[in-house]
Amino acid sequence: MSALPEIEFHARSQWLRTSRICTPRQHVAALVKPDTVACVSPTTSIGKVLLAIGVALLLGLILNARSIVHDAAGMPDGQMRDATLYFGDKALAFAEATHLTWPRDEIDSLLGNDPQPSVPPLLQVGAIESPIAIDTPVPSPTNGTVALRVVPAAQGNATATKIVMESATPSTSVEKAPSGTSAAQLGAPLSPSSTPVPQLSGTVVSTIYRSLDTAPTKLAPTVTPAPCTSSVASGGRCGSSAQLVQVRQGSASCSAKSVSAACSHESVRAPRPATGRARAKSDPVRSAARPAATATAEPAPRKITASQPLRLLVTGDSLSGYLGPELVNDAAAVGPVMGYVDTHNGTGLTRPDYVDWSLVAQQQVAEYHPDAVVVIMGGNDFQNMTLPNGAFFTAGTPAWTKEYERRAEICMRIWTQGGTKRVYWLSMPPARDSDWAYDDNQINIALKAAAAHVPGATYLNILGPVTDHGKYVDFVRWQGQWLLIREPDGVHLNAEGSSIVADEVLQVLRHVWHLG
Amino acid sequence: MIFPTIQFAAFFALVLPISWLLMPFQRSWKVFIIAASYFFYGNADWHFVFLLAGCTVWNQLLAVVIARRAVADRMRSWLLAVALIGDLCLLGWFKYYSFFAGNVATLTAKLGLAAPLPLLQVALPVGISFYTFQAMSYVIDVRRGRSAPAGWLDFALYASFFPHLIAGPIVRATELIPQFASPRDPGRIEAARAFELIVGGLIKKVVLADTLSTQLVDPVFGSPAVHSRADVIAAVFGYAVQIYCDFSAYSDMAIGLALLLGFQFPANFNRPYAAVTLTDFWRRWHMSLSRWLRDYLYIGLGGNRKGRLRTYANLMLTMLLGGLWHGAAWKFMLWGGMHGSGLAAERWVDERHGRRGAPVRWPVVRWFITFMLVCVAWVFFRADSLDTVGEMAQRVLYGGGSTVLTPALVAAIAGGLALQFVPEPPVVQARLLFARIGAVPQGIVLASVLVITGALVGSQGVPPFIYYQF
Repeated sequence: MSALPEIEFHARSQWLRTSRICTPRQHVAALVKPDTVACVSPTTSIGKVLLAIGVALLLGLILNARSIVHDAAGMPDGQMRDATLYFGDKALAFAEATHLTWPRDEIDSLLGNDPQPSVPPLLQVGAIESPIAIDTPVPSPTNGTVALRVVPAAQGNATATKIVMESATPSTSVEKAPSGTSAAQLGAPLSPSSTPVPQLSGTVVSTIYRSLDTAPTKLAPTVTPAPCTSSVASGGRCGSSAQLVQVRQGSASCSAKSVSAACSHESVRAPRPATGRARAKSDPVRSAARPAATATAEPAPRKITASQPLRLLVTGDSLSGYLGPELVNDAAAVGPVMGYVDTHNGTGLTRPDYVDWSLVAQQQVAEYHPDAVVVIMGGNDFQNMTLPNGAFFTAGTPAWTKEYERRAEICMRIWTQGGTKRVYWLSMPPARDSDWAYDDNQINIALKAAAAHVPGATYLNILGPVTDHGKYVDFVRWQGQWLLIREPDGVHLNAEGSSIVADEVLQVLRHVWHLG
Repeated sequence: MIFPTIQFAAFFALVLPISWLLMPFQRSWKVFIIAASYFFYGNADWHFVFLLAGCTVWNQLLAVVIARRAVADRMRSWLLAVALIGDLCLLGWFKYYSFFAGNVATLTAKLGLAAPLPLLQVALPVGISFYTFQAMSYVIDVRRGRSAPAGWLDFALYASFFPHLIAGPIVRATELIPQFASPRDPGRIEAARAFELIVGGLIKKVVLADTLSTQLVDPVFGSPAVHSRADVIAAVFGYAVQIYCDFSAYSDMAIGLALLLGFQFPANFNRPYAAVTLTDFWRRWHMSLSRWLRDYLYIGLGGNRKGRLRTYANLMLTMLLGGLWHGAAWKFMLWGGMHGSGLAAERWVDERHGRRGAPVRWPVVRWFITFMLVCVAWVFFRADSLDTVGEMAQRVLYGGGSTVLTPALVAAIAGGLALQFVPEPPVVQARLLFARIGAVPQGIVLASVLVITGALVGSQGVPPFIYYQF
């Protein structure tokens, strides 16, 4: 092809002619027309090469030890993580003993890479009753300060857990279905006296879920029996009866002994449901049929004007990578919006030792002052969780769901700033893998429950248009077109899928914030 | 497994010494490198290891049969066609089926008909575009008589050699397989050049490409409506720098790693944004693909031997297919079409003025025009849809929005462009100096780079290379 001819051989300068060392261009030409290149490149022996590489890797390991250990913490469980942590810990111990951590620390300091606390705040918090400090106290309906604590369920055969909202004013009780309750059951109304007040009007709800074939189902708060071994320390600290969620099996109540045993490392580990099919009995679409649920009435959203645009933050793990820019762009097209996207790839709520989302949320509040935060994450959360006290939660178990809910609630409280701001936490689209899809469903159960406790927080079910009745699909028909909406990994929504979700969320934002 | 990760560092630190220990024992060495390469490839998804193995067996089998003396010439052509159809089916199924089925379903839906093809998402095996193209070039070369069929081990090694397996360069069998014939000399390793390429690649990827990607290009291309005119213009140039630094970084690292193992790969980039014409650009950008397209597609179509109009058509078709090679999307076709029409137009103008093959007049003006055309074409390559392109154009015309531009981003763009014009003597002198300082100081220099780039990467890790998806 004359338009794409062979590489031309460029004339060399006098200096290069005398040095006979290959220039970059000669290296380019060397393999195409080797006969035309009369230059050499400095060479060395393999021994010296290995020595140089060995020194580089060893020194690099020691100097970067802290970050290697940190990054290893974020890896999925497995041999690679264990091996990296093993060598990283050894290197870190050596680096700290010899003060060789300072070069990297200094560079990190210059670059503003703040080191994460050794025990992340999300793990330091033992229970919902002591969340991360929030600047603005959470107002109760009568402006009292609210603290939440989980108490044992009612006596006898009652199986529901109860969350008491303690405030300066008479407390409000919220009955909540127990861990292990199916998703559909969680879609049931809470006790009539304390049913959360949906923030969105029926119009919006119907708009959001227009593509759902199944109408929200109202089910009685019945109970799915859970084995005694599922008893959990929901707050993560054992020994405090106020933090134990007691679950009963059939009519036989778990003894105090069995609950106490749940605090041991092994006994907390609840058996994971066996099959994806069994798990699939819960319907994630139905489960999340109520998009907005708030524990208390919160102040109305402030008025959005051109001079005071809506400060919109879209954040989360890599799932927000496509969604964020799309949503911000679309929102800016319909009203005065100052949009921010803050994606933290490879993170989630299960590994605060890697990235603690309570810290991220605080930084975001300080930096962006968002009026509304749209959150989507969970793509990396198919992992077990461990607390500093050794409590261990197997992914997908009721105990795990409860702990996830606790962590989500803490983050929600930070973003909502005591109900003065809004958080829209999107449901996690189910993954192709049935086990992961089950975990996604558990995440959605946790998010829905968490949002119900936090003024200003809304759980938005976006599954309708991007699933087939809650089940994973690659293609959907959207506005007359068949669109591939998933990435090949079977977890992420691709640009098209994210665009559909952005449309859905935008309608909520338009309604609530009167955009456009 | 991607190059700038702890996992790959551990993998390579293990493979390199074993490779050199086994080097005198050629058969063992080949088996070991093949095993290591398959491990490297299967690390992302072990299922695709069978695909690579199948592709290897298929092409080698047909190449061996084609080369048999007893086979008639006509039959050889048929066998070549069978081999190529097999390769293209593999590529078509894994890379283009979802795109094709979705478009057909949309079309039939408009006609009120059901989707005729199952709507499936087919996972794209990493590197499939690269190793199928390499395998095709091998079989074609055997058919053309340019090379004899290699031994099974040699071909398996050529197809799977991990430095080039995932994202090239597209190395030809005639360039690499002869290097397997004899053990490499452990006393003559171009280490200084290898380290220069690896470190340079690391810096281009981490300091320039990823910084521009996360802080400028992705936000602006994702949400053009909220960005200012300056942001959009900067993002256009920023993406040009990003994709160059990202892809050339991978190529440089691949070449450097191969050098440490004792092998030479062809260069893939040669200061592409210094090109003064589009023709010149394609001599400098992704050169291993350009050569492949020229030798196996353009010339196969007749090249410039069948009249002027046919030459233009061949140019256009070559670039359209070159665009489609990048991915199953209309935007890549559009990008290829823009380059194809540009090349044809350039050729037409040169021929009309009788300047074909003559030195370029007004090089600075031509450089500016070429660079602008390339950058505009990149916008179509990068944008998710034509709507995004429209919104960006609107922003450029009417302005507005906030800005994300910082001095660091402007410096990154300027730095990336300046790389195209760095004079050669200082680069060579630096390499000489590095070669002379000895192994331990070299290690310390390399460790320093690891610390700085590690801090720059932060907890977000290194994003995958752009060309991984192709």
